[in-house]
Amino acid sequence: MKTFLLILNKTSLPICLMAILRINSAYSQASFVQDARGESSVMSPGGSGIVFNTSDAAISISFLKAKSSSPFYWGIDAKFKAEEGISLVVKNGNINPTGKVGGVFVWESKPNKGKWNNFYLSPAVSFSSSKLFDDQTNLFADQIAKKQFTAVSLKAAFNRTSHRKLFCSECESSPTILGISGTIGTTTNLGNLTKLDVITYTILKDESGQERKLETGQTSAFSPLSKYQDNLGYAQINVDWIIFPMVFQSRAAIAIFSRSKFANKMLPTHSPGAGIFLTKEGSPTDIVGGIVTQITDVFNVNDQPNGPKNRIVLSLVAGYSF
Amino acid sequence: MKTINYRVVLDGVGVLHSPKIHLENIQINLVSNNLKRWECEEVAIPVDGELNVRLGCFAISGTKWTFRITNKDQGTKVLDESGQTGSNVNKPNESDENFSIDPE
Repeated sequence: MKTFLLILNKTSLPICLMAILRINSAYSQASFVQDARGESSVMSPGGSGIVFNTSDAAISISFLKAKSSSPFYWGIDAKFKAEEGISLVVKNGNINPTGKVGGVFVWESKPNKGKWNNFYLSPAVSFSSSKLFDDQTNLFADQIAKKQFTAVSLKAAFNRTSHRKLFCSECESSPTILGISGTIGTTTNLGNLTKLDVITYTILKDESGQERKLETGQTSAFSPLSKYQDNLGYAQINVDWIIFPMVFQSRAAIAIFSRSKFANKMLPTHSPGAGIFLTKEGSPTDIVGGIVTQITDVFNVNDQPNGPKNRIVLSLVAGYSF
Repeated sequence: MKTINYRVVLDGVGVLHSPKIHLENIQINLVSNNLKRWECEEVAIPVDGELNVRLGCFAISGTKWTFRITNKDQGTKVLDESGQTGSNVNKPNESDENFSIDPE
């Protein structure tokens, strides 16, 4: 059996809350309730197999090995995707992978009265490819530069599954999961750059002087190229708290989370959020749908213009498991 | 008393933690490659009279499972039960079941 999560991609809609409805995609083999960027401190192994994630044009392979006689288990998973939405791992004779290969090593405490703890370590190597806009040149052909970056990371996490009575002492206990993780690794400063939609037009003129503009290409690029940096060290702390209120008979989960990132040459950012998820019948840790809202860089240390409304992200989540 | 070979499968719809299965008080070692399906391909159990089975496992309340034991010598299913964790409100996130069944 296998679970993956789709967070539908890149559609922005105006809503009455003046938030941005961002629909993007992420694969969730090793995590359960995710934030708007697909991150979580809570581990939920989804199994082994091969998954083609259509919205993300990615193929994921995972493997997990556990024995009931041992508190230790381990697994590996890999995800490959292509930046253009087509899985071109080899393009024009050059190997062009983007994705992530990682492992997970878990120790699980002996459960007691419906409570147990997990500690896990997860090393990973990721390959990314980004487009950057060079505003220093007037040559159109040279304005879009491609940067490839190989990042390494190591995540250590603690998850505690327990239960608590909500609202009244006679009420049925509701399951909860607390997750805390710390990650160190290397990153780029793309998050501090401006993301542009670069549109190329061809302008046609007829004899009367009328102009017709044809859109001949569109791509997203970060700007400016001159400020791009990679191999920056970073640390990130994720905290998630998830509750499955028994009033919903394990068919819904509510999550509250925070993300704090500390990177070399960048100011620390804090991005809290919350989500409500519908879960699969018979498997409360498999998501079938939900909505997540998150405010990125809540203190606006990067001085993004236009106020906090542009930093609020609202993501729709759709999941499927087999 | 006779020794019978059994195949044991505990199949969760969701992730199951720390499954403990005893046949005649002998703990069975199960393996999994996704924490959902746990199985022991073959285990020899000396049986005298009924086969006493105990199943314990942990998962978020509401996680459904199916538990099957097959007599490998005769190819017959001796146990096929379903349940879900937390069905006993005094044991949230847990299943704890006992069965006494015909061993063949």
